[in-house]
Amino acid sequence: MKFITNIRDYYSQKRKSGPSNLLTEPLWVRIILIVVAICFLALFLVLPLVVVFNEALMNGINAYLEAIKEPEALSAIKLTLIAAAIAVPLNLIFGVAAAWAIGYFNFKGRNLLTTLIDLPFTVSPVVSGLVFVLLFGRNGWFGPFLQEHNLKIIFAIPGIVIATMFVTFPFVARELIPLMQTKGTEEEEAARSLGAGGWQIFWRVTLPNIKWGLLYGVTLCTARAIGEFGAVSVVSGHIRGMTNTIPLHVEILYNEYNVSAAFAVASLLALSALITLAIKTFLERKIDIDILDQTGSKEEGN
Amino acid sequence: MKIELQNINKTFGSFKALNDISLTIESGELVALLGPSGSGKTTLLRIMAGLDFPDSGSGHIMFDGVDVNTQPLSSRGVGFVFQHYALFKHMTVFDNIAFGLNVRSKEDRPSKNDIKDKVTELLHLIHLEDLANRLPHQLSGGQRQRVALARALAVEPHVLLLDEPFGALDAKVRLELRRWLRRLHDEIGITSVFVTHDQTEALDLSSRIAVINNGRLEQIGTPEEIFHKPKTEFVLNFLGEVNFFRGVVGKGKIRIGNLKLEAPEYKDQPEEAAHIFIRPHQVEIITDPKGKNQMAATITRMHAAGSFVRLELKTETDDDLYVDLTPERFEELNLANITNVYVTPKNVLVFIVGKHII
Repeated sequence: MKFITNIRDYYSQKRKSGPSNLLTEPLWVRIILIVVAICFLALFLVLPLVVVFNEALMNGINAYLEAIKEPEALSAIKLTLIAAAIAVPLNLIFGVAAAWAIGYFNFKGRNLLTTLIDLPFTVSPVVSGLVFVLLFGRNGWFGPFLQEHNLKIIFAIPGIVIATMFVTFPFVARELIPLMQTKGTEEEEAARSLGAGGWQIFWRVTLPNIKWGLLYGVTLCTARAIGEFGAVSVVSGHIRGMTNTIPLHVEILYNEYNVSAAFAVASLLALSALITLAIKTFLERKIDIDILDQTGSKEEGN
Repeated sequence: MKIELQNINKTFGSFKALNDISLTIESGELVALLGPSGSGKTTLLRIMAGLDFPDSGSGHIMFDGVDVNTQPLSSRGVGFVFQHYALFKHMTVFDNIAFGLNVRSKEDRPSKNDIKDKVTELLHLIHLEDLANRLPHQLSGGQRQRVALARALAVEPHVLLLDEPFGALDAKVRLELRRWLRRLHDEIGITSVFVTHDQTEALDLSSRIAVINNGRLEQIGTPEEIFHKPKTEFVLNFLGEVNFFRGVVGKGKIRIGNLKLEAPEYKDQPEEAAHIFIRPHQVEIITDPKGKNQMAATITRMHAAGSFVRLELKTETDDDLYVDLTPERFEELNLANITNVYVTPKNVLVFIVGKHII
């Protein structure tokens, strides 16, 4: 116990005081580095954020609320939330299953699966949107079949959900795989040797261990699902009040020179990003502590 | 429960972790699997537990005569204590111990009160009654080890398997816990197997020791047999310190340099090169030469901290020789002021080309 407290003290001390003096560069180098970093942040992150809220409130708070309460905007918000509400839980299940398989088992194609999970990160979202048009569009592979059964995927809500899912599916799995690999399987093996079944092991042992990482993945996944533009833009068809999500609605408003309304709606996205950032920071701390507990308990010896 | 392993093989990729291991553990025994790291001892233990499986088609594992090869570990009735304890981090000590009972199906699960009684009883057994509501990271290493043991015992296994049970503990706690485990085993009499790389632990704790090296069983026997009658050079070397000499054996003699020892058991054999081993406590030291059965040696270093005095010597054959003397004998010989002495082995172990003869 003493030892763990010490590790924690050590790390928190480290966090407070920064790296040791031995590694410190001369003063002028430090100043340049810090100034460059701050300018960069100000130019690319803080300034745009300020502009968004500034432009949004340009015509006063009433115009701002008006722009958001407008039926087409409300419909876009609703559709975005629906898409996220379907895509995130499905990706949660997929992510946990994939991470479980990759983290705990050795099987043929394990590396291939790991690589494939990253695919949506490497493919341009527009291309992935196009793929779905080619698959489910009027002239696509499944086009005739879908038309026969009077099903509409492209230029309709299902297409938007599918595109959102595709773009966001790596988040949960990517977060969990390294976590599960470092945790190892000892606790699960212990549970099994005590007679627990697969589901019992998952609910009682694995899930409590990965819950913070899982929430972290879900947070990032949700943020991306809400903000996704490229893939959704290709499959949506931009039908106002029907297949417009928040980012698409912002684009339309902006193209119509309705700048203040565009920024008003965009401010919702900015707000969601800030909330995500806060949640993310909180979860990262929790995960850090979890990992400390893990390594602490293995190294300690008294 | 009696455990029989027959011709167990295990390969990881191209690495042969276990090579045709057969061994029988009688009901109620406390057996140590002793070997260096990477020798395959933990793999063997995991195979007994059902956490790993032997190569397909190889070997049998029988519990009380029943082949359990294909049985999953949940139905083998095995309690397993992991090297790093593998306690459930987010559960209290109480919930950790109760886990095995709580996950049973409704028909087999004891009532809440029965579980509570059982856990309380086990907490009493491991002397941690007051810490039932602590989380694992609030416990010391020794306490965690005991909780892991109680958790394994809660499901009333027929066999208890322990992987390096004291490996992560400091020396003092290790000794205490070793004694406590010994008493516990005597009390409940459960068939137990533990893995260790520490020969004193194996000698001190077990009723029999199986020495494993490179995936092979080198020797199995009581601690006395293993220590005094090692069958291979590996076993001899692994169990405690030993001095090594190259010599010649045959015609009724053992020769190391000018030292000649009578060995009637080699009377009818021609002289052959041999490896000769002498334990540090089996060397007699004298200060005056008498007769031919001595070897001259120079004391190069000595240290007296401990229950015996350790001398480091250089022999006339230019070999290093370690000798342990009782403090009384050390005083008697007045060795503190002498550097040139004569040594005679009281007992030697001889191996001819890897073949054991004595």
